[in-house]
Amino acid sequence: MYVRVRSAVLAGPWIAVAGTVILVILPEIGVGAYWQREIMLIGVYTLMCSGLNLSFGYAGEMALGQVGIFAAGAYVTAILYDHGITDVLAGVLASIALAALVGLLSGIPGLRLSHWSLAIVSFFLILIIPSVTQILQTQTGGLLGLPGIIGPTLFGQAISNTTFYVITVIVTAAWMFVFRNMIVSPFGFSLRVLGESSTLAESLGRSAFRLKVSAYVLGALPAGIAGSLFAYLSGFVSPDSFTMDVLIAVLAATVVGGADSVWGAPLGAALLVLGPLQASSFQEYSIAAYGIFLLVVGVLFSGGLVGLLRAAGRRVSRRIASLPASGEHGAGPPAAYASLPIPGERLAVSGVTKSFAGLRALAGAELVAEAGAITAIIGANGAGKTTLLNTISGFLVADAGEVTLGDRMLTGSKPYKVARLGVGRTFQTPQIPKSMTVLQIAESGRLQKSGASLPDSILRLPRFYRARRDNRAAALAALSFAGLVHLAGADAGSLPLGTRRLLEVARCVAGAPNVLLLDEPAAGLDDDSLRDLGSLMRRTREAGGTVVVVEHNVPFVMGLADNVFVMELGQVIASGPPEIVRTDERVLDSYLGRRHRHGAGLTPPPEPVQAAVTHSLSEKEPMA
Amino acid sequence: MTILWAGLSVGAIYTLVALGYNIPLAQTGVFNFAQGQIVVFGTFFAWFVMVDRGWPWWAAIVGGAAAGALIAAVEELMAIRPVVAKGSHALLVTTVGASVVIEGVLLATWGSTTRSVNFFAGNNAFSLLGGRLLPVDLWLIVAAVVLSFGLHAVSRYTLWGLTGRAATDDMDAAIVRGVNVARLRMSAFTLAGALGGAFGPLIAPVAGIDVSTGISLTIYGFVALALGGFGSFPGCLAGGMAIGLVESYASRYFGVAYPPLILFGILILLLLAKPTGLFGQRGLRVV
Repeated sequence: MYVRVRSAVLAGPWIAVAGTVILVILPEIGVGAYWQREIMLIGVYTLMCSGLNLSFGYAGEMALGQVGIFAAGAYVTAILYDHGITDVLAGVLASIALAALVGLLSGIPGLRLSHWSLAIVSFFLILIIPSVTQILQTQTGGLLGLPGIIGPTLFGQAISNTTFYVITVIVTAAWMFVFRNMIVSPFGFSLRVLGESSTLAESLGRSAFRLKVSAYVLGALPAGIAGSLFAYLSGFVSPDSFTMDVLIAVLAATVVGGADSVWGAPLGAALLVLGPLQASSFQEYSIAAYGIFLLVVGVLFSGGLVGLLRAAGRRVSRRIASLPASGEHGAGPPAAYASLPIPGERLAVSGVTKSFAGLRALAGAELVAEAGAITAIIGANGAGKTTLLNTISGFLVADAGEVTLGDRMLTGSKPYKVARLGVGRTFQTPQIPKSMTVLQIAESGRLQKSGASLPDSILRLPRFYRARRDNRAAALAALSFAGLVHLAGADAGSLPLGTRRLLEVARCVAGAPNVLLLDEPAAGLDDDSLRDLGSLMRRTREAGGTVVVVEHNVPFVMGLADNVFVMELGQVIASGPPEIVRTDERVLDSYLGRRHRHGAGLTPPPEPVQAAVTHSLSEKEPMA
Repeated sequence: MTILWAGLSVGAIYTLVALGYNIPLAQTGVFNFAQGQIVVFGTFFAWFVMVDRGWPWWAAIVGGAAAGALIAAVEELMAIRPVVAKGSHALLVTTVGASVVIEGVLLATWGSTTRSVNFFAGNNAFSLLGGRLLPVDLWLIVAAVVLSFGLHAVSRYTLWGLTGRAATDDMDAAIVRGVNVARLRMSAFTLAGALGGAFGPLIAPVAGIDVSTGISLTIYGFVALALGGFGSFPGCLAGGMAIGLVESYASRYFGVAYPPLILFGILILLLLAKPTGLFGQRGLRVV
């Protein structure tokens, strides 16, 4: 009960709507020009910070071009004003368009880089602002700037300062609404997944590059709007307003508020405008204080203030309601989730070769995996098993040969396209984003489904809710297959390794892919987890899935698989049902480490050795 | 030729910043954003020692090296060590924070008014190879060349350099081979800080003493490093000098507004076309 009330209050945008209404009517109840100006400044910084949240906080890219975009928005507004176009809407729209353009132009080359290069390139944008304004002196007024942007209009009517205040509040609130809906949507999930690992994002059907560019360009838009509003607000635009100090202030506000949260932006912006930094006695130390804030937040609490509030909220709610972290999805019979059809298709690999600088990792591998069956790939280290999986899922490009799924050709497609063609996979080291709950992780398995587009999510159209309902049902079904439903609300970061492996398989199952590629899912699992993994794989098979598993735990897969392929030196040396493969001489040789026994004319091993190997291949105990 | 000498002199300053970036980068794979501000601190410190106190120039060099080393060591302890395991995202926030703290403290203590220091070994321009230059220009160029090749030799031929390259290549492997990575990083930061603080008496007469030069030194030093190649000390020299020359010639022939734009274009093209720079190591391109 408590959880439901709390989530209704926090999840609903009602607080934000009420806050906006209060801000809009403030002038009516006698709040004067000084405070209106302060609130407008908070709005401007909120816009900039939230843009930084998108690219820096969520997508994890060090793209800090906000101040450059901010300057572009301010200048285009001022230049339009000088040419007699004084309408606020025209200024804001022109800024948005220019922000999108600058964002795209600086983002595409910038985002091909990474980490520090990207950060420096975006810092560099600030150094070139004075240059550009000097070169375009006739339009921009050079280093002196453009004065007199006073008295904007709206639809041809002159507007009062109070009206401009209301417009600023509404525009900021409208962006926050859009921003919040973007974050709480499949797009927001994708960004968080991307922030964790671009490999993971690709394996879930999202192009990492396109995600980065969209996060950066979408994050540029509010900075452009902020520039436009700032030009009208200050009435004067010059290069002095767009310095490194502004970027540092915005970065500090973003990080202090909480870079990976929606409401961190207004919080950080309010601290920036109203906080102790603005006290006059403090001013000469304000730069140093920003630096100390960055240091302290970076070292001690990377979630920022919102992160602290969230943690405190969780602790309080746990104590008051003494509920487990499982939250609202903990209850309910598992049977309710039990149906998740998985449309398995036939996977065929033929003649695939792959060399790494002279080493032939795959030398004409052949493999067929049928729907509704578990196909195991075993073999010694270096046999080419994982290389084969990576080639199927598009992370490696085969030198020759082809891979088909159903009647679709997979060879030559990028990983995210392969994922969209119906290939789901897991990794040897589980890739589980830390800042998400177990249920959210399972839902992220469905990112490759084109359920709700970004506009659907922003406007919260019925399609968004339908897709969310379907995704949640599928995620819960997959979790129930794995026996993880009771953990649905838990933080994924707190899970032990075995559970993370299971969760990764469950995420793959939730996507209901046409084939599931599992890369050593049993590594490091204890007996209980092994049993859960086995039942998860069996239920996936019963649901119709095509399951391909690479595994070193031979007894485990021998007890589970319908078909086994044994690889050695990049080729399949034996295949068939487990009981046939188990007695195949080449397989026994491979596991004994002898090659070309017949060709080299060596004597067969003594009887007890052969018996021991046969025993180990059939017994349910892990091999050394 | 005069333009060439001016370019090489400014280029020598960028080289010194780039060398300061490269020491921790080559030794432990950490990029120290605050290096540019440490160099700015060095110029203020030179003013403080030579003008405010009236002490000799070598006191400014020795004291600047000690103070720069101390700043970098404190930075390593407070901004690098606690977050190095969290990856470059956290390091971005904390090293930018450290840089801003240095800038802020300089602003608060020595104000934002411009100061100046006269070069200690004379200010009479002379002719060399058909161009005019000041003694300080020649000193800077010589210092940049000597340090670049000296550090290259240290990195190549000492055990310290070898362990550093091992730690950068594969930190876990270095740790299990008994390399104390934290101490290695501390020594690299201290050396880079000393280098950044020591050359105030040479840099101040050319670059001026002003907090606002920090951002240009930070960025152009990075461009020098990227151009020369992450991890390569002679590369810092080549990159720094190339940037100094571009800046000097572009200002002369196009106007002072153009060098930043041209260098920005060069940086973008370079990072896209050859992310390892001219002499860089493959493994360090993730920077």
